[in-house]
Amino acid sequence: MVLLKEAAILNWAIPFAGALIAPLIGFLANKLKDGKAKNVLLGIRDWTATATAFLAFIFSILLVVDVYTGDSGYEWIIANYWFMPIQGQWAIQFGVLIDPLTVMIASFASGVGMLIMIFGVGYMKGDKHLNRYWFLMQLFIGGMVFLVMANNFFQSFVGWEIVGFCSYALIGYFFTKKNKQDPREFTIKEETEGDYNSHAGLKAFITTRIGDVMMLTGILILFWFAKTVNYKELMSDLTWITTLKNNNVLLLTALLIFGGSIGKSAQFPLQFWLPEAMAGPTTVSALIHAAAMVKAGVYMVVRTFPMWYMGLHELHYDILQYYFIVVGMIGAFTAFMAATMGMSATELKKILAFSTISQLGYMFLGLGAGGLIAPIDNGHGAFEVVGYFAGSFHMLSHAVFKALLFLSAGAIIHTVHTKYVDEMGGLRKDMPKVFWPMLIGGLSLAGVPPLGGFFSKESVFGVSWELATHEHNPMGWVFFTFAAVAAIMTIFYTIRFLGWSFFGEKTEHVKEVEKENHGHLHKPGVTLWLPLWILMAGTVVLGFLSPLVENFVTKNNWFAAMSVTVEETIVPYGHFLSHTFGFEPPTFWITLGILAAGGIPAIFFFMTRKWDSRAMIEKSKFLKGINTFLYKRWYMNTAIYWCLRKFKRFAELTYEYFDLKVIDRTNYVIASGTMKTGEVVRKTQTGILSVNFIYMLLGAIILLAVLLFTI
Amino acid sequence: MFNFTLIISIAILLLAPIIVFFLGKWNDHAAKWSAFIFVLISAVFFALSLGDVLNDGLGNIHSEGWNKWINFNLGSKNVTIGFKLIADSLSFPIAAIIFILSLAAVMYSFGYMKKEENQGAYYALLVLYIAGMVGVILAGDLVQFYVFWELMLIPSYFIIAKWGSKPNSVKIAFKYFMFTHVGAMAILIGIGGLWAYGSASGSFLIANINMTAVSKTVTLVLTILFLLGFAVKMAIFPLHSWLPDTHGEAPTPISAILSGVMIETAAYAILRICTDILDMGSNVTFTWVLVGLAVFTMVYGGIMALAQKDTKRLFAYSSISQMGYIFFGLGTFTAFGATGSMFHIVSHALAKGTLFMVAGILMTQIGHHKGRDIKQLGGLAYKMPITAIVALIAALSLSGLPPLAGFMSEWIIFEGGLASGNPLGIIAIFMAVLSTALTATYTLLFMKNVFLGPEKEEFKDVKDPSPYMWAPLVVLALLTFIIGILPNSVLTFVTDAVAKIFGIT
Amino acid sequence: MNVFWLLPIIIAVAGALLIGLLGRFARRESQGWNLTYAIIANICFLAMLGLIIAFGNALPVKSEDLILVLGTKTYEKGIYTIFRLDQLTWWFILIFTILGSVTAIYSIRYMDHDDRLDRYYLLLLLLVAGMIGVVMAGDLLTLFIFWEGMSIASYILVSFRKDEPEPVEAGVKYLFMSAFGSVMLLFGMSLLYGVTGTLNIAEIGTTLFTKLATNGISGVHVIIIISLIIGFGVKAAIVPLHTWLPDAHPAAPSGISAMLSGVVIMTGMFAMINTLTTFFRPSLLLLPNLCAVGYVLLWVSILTMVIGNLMALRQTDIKRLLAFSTVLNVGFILFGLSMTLTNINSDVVTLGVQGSYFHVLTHALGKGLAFLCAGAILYRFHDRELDKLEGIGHKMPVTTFAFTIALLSLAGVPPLPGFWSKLNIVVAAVSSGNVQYYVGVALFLLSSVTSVVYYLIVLQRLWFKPAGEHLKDVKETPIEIIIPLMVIVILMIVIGVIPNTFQNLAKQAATALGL
Repeated sequence: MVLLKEAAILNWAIPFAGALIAPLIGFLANKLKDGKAKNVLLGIRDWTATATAFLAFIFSILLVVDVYTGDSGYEWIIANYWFMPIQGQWAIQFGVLIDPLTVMIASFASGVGMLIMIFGVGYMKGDKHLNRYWFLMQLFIGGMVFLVMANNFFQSFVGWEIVGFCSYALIGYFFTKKNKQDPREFTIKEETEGDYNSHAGLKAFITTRIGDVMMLTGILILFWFAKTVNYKELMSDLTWITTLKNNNVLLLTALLIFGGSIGKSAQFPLQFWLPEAMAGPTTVSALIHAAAMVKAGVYMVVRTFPMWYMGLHELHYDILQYYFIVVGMIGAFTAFMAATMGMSATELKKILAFSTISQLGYMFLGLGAGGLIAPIDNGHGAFEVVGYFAGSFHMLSHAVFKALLFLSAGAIIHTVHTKYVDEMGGLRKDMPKVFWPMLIGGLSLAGVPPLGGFFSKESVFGVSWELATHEHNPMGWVFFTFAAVAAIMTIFYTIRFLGWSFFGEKTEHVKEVEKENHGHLHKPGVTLWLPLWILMAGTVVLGFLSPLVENFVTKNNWFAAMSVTVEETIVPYGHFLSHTFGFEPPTFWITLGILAAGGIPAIFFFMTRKWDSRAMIEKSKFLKGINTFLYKRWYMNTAIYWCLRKFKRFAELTYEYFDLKVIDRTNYVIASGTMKTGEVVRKTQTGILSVNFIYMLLGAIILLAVLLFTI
Repeated sequence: MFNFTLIISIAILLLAPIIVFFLGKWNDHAAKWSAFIFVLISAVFFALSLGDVLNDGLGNIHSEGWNKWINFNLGSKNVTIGFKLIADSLSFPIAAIIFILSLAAVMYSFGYMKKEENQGAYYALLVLYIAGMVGVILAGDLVQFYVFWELMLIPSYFIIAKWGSKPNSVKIAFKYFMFTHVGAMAILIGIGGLWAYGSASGSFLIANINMTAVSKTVTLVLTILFLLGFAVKMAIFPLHSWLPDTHGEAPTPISAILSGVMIETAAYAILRICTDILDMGSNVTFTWVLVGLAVFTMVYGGIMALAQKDTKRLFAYSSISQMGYIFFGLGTFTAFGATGSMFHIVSHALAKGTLFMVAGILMTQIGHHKGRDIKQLGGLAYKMPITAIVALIAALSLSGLPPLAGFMSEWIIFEGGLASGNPLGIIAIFMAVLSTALTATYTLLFMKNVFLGPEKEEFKDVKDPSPYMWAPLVVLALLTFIIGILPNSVLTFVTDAVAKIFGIT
Repeated sequence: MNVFWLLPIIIAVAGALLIGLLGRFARRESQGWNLTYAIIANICFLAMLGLIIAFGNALPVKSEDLILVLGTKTYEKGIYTIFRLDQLTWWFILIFTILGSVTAIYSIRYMDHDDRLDRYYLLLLLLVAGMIGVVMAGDLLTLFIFWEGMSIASYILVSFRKDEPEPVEAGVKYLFMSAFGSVMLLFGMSLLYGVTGTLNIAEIGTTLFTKLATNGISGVHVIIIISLIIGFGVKAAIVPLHTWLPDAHPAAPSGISAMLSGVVIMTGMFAMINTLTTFFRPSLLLLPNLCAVGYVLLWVSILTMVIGNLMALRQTDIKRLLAFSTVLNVGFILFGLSMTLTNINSDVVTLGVQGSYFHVLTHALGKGLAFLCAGAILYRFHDRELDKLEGIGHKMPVTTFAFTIALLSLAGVPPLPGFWSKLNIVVAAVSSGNVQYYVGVALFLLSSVTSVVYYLIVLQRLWFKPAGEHLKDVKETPIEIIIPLMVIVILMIVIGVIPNTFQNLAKQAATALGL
């Protein structure tokens, strides 16, 4: 059933159009004098922006219905558009792809985006430059949907860069803001980071750009050998994988394309930009972490997953297993590393940022592990690809709970005017409308059943467990260990920030804020709390819906639909539940054990405050060292800055001592050398007659000699 | 209609300087407006030839003029120098971008040169300079090409020496002249060689030169000679050291033209002469040396740009880096690479023209020396929003951000690196793509250090300039965007012509 | 004998006599008399120019028409005078008369501070008559007579301002050096007469050919060649015989400098190549070794360019700089002409020779104009030091503009004439298929680039430096001087835009050399 195929265009075209309309309204409004008309117009502007996101969401949902009821892997080429250099076969056609993956991401990106924008109407009220804000926010959502709806790498890359640009501009939204230090020369200190906003935006852009370099190179190589970048064409004929293999660039191409995801999804070693991305408005952080930017990286891996999976398991190019090992290992290590950092960070949004990095690591871990598992014959004449679902599902559930957490954090920061968790406390009673959503969101992040986060994270565990036990692949144990340790830390830091902010006594800072507000805290308005509750509902429901989601993603598996080599896959309904509770009991119990291991001490530390964590750290030199090490983010950020500083210095020295002193100098040496020669030769022109005659005679004699000898 | 549109177009450009100069004796305003109107009329006549270009078919050559401008018999061989103007689907878009950028620069000069003396002479020389560039692109004869090539040099030399930044302008103009002239000498020998070996009929017309039967050694030597000349113009490492000085010290409209289109005329010429006539791709090792040089140039230019503290020098080094891309595309000797290079001429002209003019705006609005010292600037975005926005668009286009024009051209250039079928291509394009990240770094650092960041008290009265100065920029920025969305607007022209050169039908 | 063809010489000599008589008759200096001399000279020059242009349609003239028999000897053997007028000689005469006419007009105002102008114009007319005679001479005796006539006129003109020490010293130097050349020339001619028994240049050519074909080459021939090269070379100022030039040319009045640099030295070049080619080119096929003469000349030409350039680089005296640039251009011209004595394909040789002949014209115009402009500046501001002339472009824009055109043309910037002639030579060299010429052409262009250095330095200092305090009273050149300057400027632009006609004339001249 096709409700409205144009929806696949409208869901990104409308935000794009809105990106132009909303600032236009605002521009007109700003021309008016202050007064009612102006305020009304400005209100229209704000809600226009929100409305476009809403429309995008509606159209995406229409597509979900399409896909759920109809054919999947439905591609729609709009026009013979873009360009065609040299020959027809190099044309890149403009088109959209409607399949479970694209519509799933499009709907959560636009849906979550819409809620974030509703939140933003209240949160950003009074800012003078909202034209720019709404322009970029809509462009951001539109770009993200454009990216996922694209039917080819090229178009995706366009969206990819639009998203990158928007994050650059939005992180640096308050670009005149400045803390203590000017990081102009890359001498930023740990504490001030995130405050010099234009710097933070630049950092995000350049870092992701390094990933993009790899990705673009990869796409170019792929394009050259495959002669197409269309996802469907790539999947329908896998000979290009053989071509790549024969040219010894198969693994290289796969890894290069993955490189883009490393940058975009803030994986090790390009993870250091994401904590600074907090510099923008909280809504932007929410959008980046939940809906748009970082999910693009995961999307790309999910999108290319079937290609490399086919190469590994259908065509048996074993070299590709290294691709999946790299994906999984980077994910596993990042999940672990970011979780450790999250345990010591003191800024609320920064903790959430580390948790994002960590959760993204889980997604990659799931995909990497899944790629290594051979397709399982399920006894119904079809094959089942385990693990493909895990990563994409975690992406979905993470979108919901992370948006929830960020918006809640925004509401808290908006109220108490501090971003440090240790300056908050006891907010539970004053802000119940924020407390409950945030609690649910936190628990979902920690993976507490039966919330969405539990199911998705559990499925990641399940995949690595299966890899270890069924496939007897040692990598499975490595993945599983990393995932488990990271999960322990996840619940620890989740309870830590929840406890710090909502439990215990009110701190001095909070009391001061109360005093300024006539004895009570400012209550968040409806646009601030309503999105939270909607998202809270979402994360709860998602838990129960998870089998449906799996069915959605795998039953109408675009993976299968797009590949000719694997026959129609039918994963039995309810497989997921059985997978979790029935056949694989160890993972379920292990999950519970993990939650207990991390959660119980955390409750004593931060909720009941029975134990004093800060005193323990003060006392033990070892703990203090660890804490500093983690707080400084393993000194990786410092190292990067050191490298950048040195690079800049290198550039300056090269300029000074090579370009100016060698290359440029050479010209002057040649020039002055000629001039000096002229000066010397000029001396021979004495003007003395007898000398002139001597020259003349010498010349005559030489001429005579030469001619006599040669003739 | 009538078939002499190109001739009229060039004739207007060649004769207008006299009128402009004498009008300038009477009134500065008359000089500047007459210059603008003459270039505009010329551009209109040029645009009229589009019909002929399309009628003749894309990839075919539409030519106007005389086969025999200079002609004498000489034994068995005639020496014939023609005056032919060629507008095929290759030269048309490039000449068009020259007209567009030139018109923008002329209008921009209204504001920028307001306080200068001798405006009549300035505008006269500027129009002559434009004539030189258009002539180089449209030239259908080698000698005519050379004539216009030098015609490009002389007026720009005088403009830079006279109106460039004091006190070094004369020295720098001298350096510019000498570098380019040495290169031109190599080209002159090359032209002689083409005639001597390749022209059976003794004609200098490009169409009559056929080097297929000539020995490889000769063609290689001639290729090297031509490339030497063109590489100087394109500022390929290590022949680049004239460029930062010249582009940095020239009056800004001239910098924009220099960087935006003049140095690219060499790229066009490489395609026309080295690729088409001399078939330089037949020597694979040689072309890979070129690619290596190109890659080195782009990375080197980028690193040098990173070290700059002066806006105009920064953009100058960035031009060197961008010329690396264009050289790369040509060096791969593939239809892809060449198409991309020709396209990149257009997109680079738009972006770099804009950026130089932005630097000029900073200089006029803030101060001649202060306005170009990056260290002293900052937080200007709210003060001059239009300038900041166009600067951002140009910067992003330059760093290859889709869907702006710069990305589209770079994509094709990079594909050319692979199309050559050499495994080295992968390393080369990786380095090339990496240098786009470098480009993004220095352009956005420029944005950050100049427009973003905390506002400064001393700049509280700074405003956007007069519309004469920002309107051309807005047009260029819009074009960047439109060409990015509709790359076919340029590619349909270029592709067929390049395919013909490479013998792909 | 059709005296009609000799009219240019006759007019020049008659004009000279008339001025001389008037000068004797007047016996006193006055503006009126000076103007009278100038007008007579100008009329003569314009008449010559008109005649020469009119002759253009009737070429080539049969040689029998131009033979003037002296004495009673029979026609075939003995001493008689032969003139010839074909496209080649006509081309040179055209250049001489064009520059002569312009100089004559220019001198009206330029020389108005001098006295004894009857002698000035008399000598100027005789100088041109001598030059025309040299190129028209068809036998060695006639050639030598006119040669000496021309030389004497030029010695005196160089030291025309005899009250100043510099011109006198320069004139003496010039006299001594040229006299040495003349001696060498006479020596060579006598040897030739001894070897062949005739003075008729064409006959010497045929006789030498048969003799060389039977007996081969010997030391005598080498000495003849050397004598001719050195004898004519002194006048042509090839290195190392150029040392008189940088003293003599700047010292002369600027109009005379223009003549000397522009055309007089070219008579030497013309005579050297003409005689050598006629005498030895036919034998080249028989005696391949003889090609060495051509290659020696090639390297001499390159040496000339290099030395001329290096000398000119650091000159601060504007006229001296131009004088050294003349040495450079002599090198350029010899470069193309040297091909005549090599074994290169004769088509290519024609092209090279044509280029050189064309360069004679473009150089005459460019260098003539440059000297005239320098003179115009001198007229207003009596100093040749570049340091003091800085910024004079603001005061004398028209003159400096003309100067710019002249220097750019000399620099070979298209589309000015200097470019076309250089292009011709370069194309010929590249077509030659000879490694020495390949190397040569690279050095040729390198020299051209180097020359641009000092031309540009001059221009920069004139245009872009602020005008000093000492220049504040300097005014634009008077219109009488600007007119001749503009005549040349317009001529140069016309040649630059439509070089075809002139190139064809040069080509005909080259063909008439009979290769």
